[in-house]
Order: sequence, then structure tokens, then C-alpha cells
Amino acid sequence: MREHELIVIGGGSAGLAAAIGAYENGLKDILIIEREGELGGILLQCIHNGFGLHAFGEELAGPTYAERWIYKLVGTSIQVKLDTSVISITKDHTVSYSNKEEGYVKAKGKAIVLAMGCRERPRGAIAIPGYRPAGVLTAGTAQEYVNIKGYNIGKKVFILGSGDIGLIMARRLTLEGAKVVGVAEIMPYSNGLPRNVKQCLDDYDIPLYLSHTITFIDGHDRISSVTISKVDENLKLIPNTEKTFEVDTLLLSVGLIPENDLSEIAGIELSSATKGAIVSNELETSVPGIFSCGNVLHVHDLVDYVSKEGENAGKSAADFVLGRTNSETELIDVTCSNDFGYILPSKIKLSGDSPVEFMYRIKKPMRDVTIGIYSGDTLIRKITKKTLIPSIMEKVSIQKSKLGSNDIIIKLIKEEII
Amino acid sequence: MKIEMPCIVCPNSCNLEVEYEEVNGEKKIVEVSGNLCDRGITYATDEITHPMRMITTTIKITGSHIARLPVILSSEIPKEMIFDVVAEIKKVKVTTPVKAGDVLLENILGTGANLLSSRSLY
Repeated sequence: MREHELIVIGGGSAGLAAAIGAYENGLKDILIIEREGELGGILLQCIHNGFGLHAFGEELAGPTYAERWIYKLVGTSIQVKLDTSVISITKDHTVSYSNKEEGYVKAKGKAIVLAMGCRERPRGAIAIPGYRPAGVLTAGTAQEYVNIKGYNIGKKVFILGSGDIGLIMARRLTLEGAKVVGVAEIMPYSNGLPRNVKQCLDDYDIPLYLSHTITFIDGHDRISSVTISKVDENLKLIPNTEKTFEVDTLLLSVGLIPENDLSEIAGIELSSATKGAIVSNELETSVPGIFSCGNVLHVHDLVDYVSKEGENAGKSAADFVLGRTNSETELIDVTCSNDFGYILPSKIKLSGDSPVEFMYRIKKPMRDVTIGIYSGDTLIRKITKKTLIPSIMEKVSIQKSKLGSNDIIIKLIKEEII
Repeated sequence: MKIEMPCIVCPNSCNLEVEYEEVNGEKKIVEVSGNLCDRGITYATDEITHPMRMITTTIKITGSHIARLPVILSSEIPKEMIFDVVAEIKKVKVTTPVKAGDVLLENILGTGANLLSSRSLY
């Protein structure tokens, strides 16, 4: 069986950065396996700008950002296999993949980095009542159809869910000549970044119906209308609040799920909060030598953070392969109170002196918040924030010497719920 | 007058507090706070007096494995010109090879903004 120092699964923003990170930290024999015909992942269809502010100090369009990273491979010994699907990964690091040229192949990685990204929640996941006509698609699929394939997907569009891709597509379709008649969001607040609500909806007078959801899809060959209803604070439908919109297209922007089928095959422990792997501060999963980064670990809102995490995973993989890792088994646990969606990393190795970067998300929008990070019962860091919203991931870095040896928990000290 | 507005300049999405006064129908900024960088001040000033926007879209490309070339402007344009500028961009058609950053159209409708390719296609 062929053996590589490192196999990276996925050639999007996380995988590219992981390969570069590993290369810069001493690995030479690195293989990236990518399912699509070119590198870059989802960035290639994200033609809007705003990428690269942290990584390059510039604001770039998605494809430009991807290209910058792809060019970093030039002159390195990093190998790439395109149009190649990974079928399984085992605990002992055997990767089975297949492609047209080689057929079915097994290869071994001394280390493996998982960088498979995430996928969209489809209609089936949210069970909208009504018919099953054509013209109902996820926002990301619509993005690919419009921005890469150049299809005209519809003239009168409704969007369910206020995630960033849905908001970006509302503007995109408006510029392509379609009429976006509205966006419905079941929560009382938007799930997208405030700047996207402003520049993608407000700028084009597209109404955002908060606390509303779709209760009926009508249409036989093609979708002909959607009906929305208001929901109360328990997300229960309020009768007689129905509104019907005649449309020929419905986009769903109802969440992203890390794509961890391969991680499950490898027996990697997953978190129910992030739907990604449970990782240490070195981004190592429960299987030694297998690391996870990017949207397959947890869904990010900024690609720059994905790249950073990818580089860190690559560095950790290099440390593992080159025997620079302390094989200490005593890890402390990191948890969060119920007010938080999640906190990462889930576990911390206390050896070494590099600071630990915690990433967390709040569950509901809050104002004038004080957050405490505790080591056991001892408060080790107090953070005050004017506003906290679920769509923005927060980060805080703490020196290892301050962490103590007790388990870490993040809690609210004071808050005002908006 | 004091208003709150999300800054749209970059993904930091700062929540700006903008204080301005209106003298003879002309709006003047008194103070901007909540911004992490100076671009927030420029944005708030523009937004109150003459809103500017960046545009990204796609144009037809032949000779490539994909149907559309993503494009971006070299600088922002007045918000009210968005649809005119997009219509002008749509007229541009290109053939491979194209490099990221190539200028495809200069000074669109006198805005001073150039049309740039967002990726390389060979």
C-alpha cells in the first residue's frame, strides 16, 4: 500500500490551508484528495467580496481568495488528486478512494486531515407541507447554477431562512433581473450577518418576515405559490396569519451541517452541538493522528478563520508525524452553559505554552453581556460585549498558564436578552 | 440625530452609532462610534450623505470549462447607479485566457470604477 506522510481530505479553503500549514512545518509528502474537478471548494461560487481581510489584509472575491491559496501550492511538493472520491477512512489511517485513472485504491497516511466542509440542510430536513414541484432548491445549489453554470433559475423568488447564503442570493438574483418577493425567518432575529441584511435585503427593499415560516408549497409541474404564517415565541403557528405569494422559485437557506460521513466510518467521536468532531486544542479528533478543520469541524462565518484553522491542523499533523507531539493523555474538558450553542476546542492538552484560542457562539441575541470563563469554580477571564448574536462566532485567546488544571466552563455572568 | 447602523464594509459587521446634524438640508457627521477601523467612519459618512456600494456579478466567457466569469469592481459606485452599472457590465463578453485582476472595462459610466476579473481561466 502506498504511504504518504499526510493525506488531506478536501481541497477547499480548509484543506488547502492544512496542506500549506503541514508543508511549512516540515512535511514534504502530502496528498490532497478533492472530489471536484478543480481546487477551491465552495469559494469558487461565492463571487461576492469580503474574503481575505484577515489572511491577506485585502477584501477579495471568493474565487480570488481561493486562487491565492491555490498558487501557494506552486513550487511545493504537495500532490493533488482531482475528481477523486474518498470512500472510507479507517482508524489505522487507511484511506480508500476511487477515480477514473486509478480505479479503487487504498493509501495510508501517517496523519490525516479532515477538511470535507459542510452541506446544506435540504427540504426533507425541515418537512414543509405541500406539493413536491420543481423550482424548490437550496440557496447554495442556486448559487452554483447562477454563478458558475450561468442558468436562469427563476423570475419570481421567495427565500426561506435568513442564513448568509440566502441573503447573498436575494441580492444576486435581483441583480440578475429576478424579483425576490420576500424572505421568511422562523426565529425573531436574522440568522445572517447584519451587514448582509442591510446590503442584500434593505438596499433592494426586499421584505424580511421574522417569526414567519412556510406552511404550504403549491404547484404541480412547477411551484406556483408559497404560503407563510406567523409563529409565536414557542415557534407554534398562529392561525389566520397566512400570506400567499405567487412565485416560480423557492430557495431554502435553512442551515449547514458539517459533512462527517467519513469521520463516522472512521469511528471518530462527534459532538451533538457542532455536528463536527470532538477535538483537542491541537484539532486532533478522538482517533490519534486524524485532525479536523474548517466547516467539517464547525460551521464558520468567515473563510479567513477557516484558513487559519486549516493551517493549525496542518501544523499539528506535521508535529504528530515528526514526533514533536507530547503524547500526554491527561486532557481537561471544556464545556459551556445552556446559553451557548457550543465552545471549541472540547479538550485541552496542558503541555506546551502556546495560548489556547476558544471559539464560541451564543444561542440567542443578547445585549450588555458579561461572560465568564472558569477553571473549575475560579473565574479566569471576564469578557464584556455590547451585543452578541448567534450569527457571529466569537473568539478569545488565553495563555495556558492561566488555565489551571481543572475543567473549563464558559457561562453568562450578566445579560439582557434582546 | 443619532442612529445605529451595521457597517457593511467588511465581515467584522461593526454596529456603528452615528450622530449627524442637518443644516439647510445638508447632512453633516458629528460623531461616529463603535467602529473598529477608520473605514467605518468613511462608510458612515458616505451612507449618510451619498451611499456607495461594491458590485460583484458574472459575465459570459467562452473557451472555458465554466460558463460564467466572476467579476468585481476596482472601487465602489454610487448606490443609485447599481442597476445601470450592472446593465453595462452585462454587455461585456470575454474569451479565455483571463487572469485574476485583468481590467475588462474601464471607467464604467464615468464612475471611475474599472471592471476586474475575479479569477483566472485558461
